[in-house]
Amino acid sequence: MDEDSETMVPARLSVLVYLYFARQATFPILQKRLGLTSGNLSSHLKKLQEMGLIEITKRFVNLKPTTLAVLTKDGAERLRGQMVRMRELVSMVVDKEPKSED
Amino acid sequence: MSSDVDKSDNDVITRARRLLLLADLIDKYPQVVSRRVAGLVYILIGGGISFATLIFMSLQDLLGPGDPLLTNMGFVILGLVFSWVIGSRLIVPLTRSYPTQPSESEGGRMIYALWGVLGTAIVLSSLVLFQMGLGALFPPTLQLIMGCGFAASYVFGKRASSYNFYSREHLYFAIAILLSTIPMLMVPAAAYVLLIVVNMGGIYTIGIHMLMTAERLLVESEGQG
Repeated sequence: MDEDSETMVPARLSVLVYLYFARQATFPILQKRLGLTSGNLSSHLKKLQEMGLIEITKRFVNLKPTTLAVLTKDGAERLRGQMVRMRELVSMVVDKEPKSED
Repeated sequence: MSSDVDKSDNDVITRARRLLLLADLIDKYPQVVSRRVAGLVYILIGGGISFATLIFMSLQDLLGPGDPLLTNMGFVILGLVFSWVIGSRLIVPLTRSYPTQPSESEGGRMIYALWGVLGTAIVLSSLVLFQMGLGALFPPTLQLIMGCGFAASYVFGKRASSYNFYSREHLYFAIAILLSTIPMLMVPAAAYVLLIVVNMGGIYTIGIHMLMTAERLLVESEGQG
């Protein structure tokens, strides 16, 4: 689980999960959907890019430069593997508990 | 105090269950993408063959009747090439991000090998039958080979867990194809019409059904965790 610690940061994990289902997203969309400040999101995106989990490109949308984040194959594999490992751990705890009313 | 602790425990358990659900969705999502891609591929193959048939039939009308074997082979190959060129442009960006390993599973490899053998059998049987002047037997032979292929895809699909979402459509299609050989043998004049109706109709139906039901895999995962 040590290798997961860098991506287990809630903001980074939510970026990865969003991109996993959406494939790609612009900076303003990520900021709006995840409720992060631009500085915070920017630093997390940079870190994820350094780790090779996402690709960042610049595009012009309506003549305005826009940052586009795309999940890489490594990123998708890492997230999936991490979530499967987490599911195994959490299900061990949840299975011991009686089913709640939800 | 005790009720506060219970409430807090319940919150944690509820969150844990949500996390399990999210993990299930993430785990299954590549299968949804695969199913969408497979549906698109079927539609593109059907569309490509239809388009190529239209072009070749128009050309045949203009240029006069040619060699039926070469014409048939030509439009199928052209149709497939056309489908795959367009398909790869549309589909590759869809699959780029998702980890799918169907070819690594035993069932996946078996399906590729099987269709390789069946494809060769189709080409060889067409060559032999047309050379022997038994062209009328080609449509039912093709249906038998394809019916066996789709039935085997169903069997292998049940063995390979990553292919389980292909299974049912393939079984229904195999039954339809195999049943179509009966009227083909009874009314050979209508064999090619039946071939087009059953096979093309089946390919389009499978494709559309796969696209429409792709998200069902995610609904199924809600029961877990």
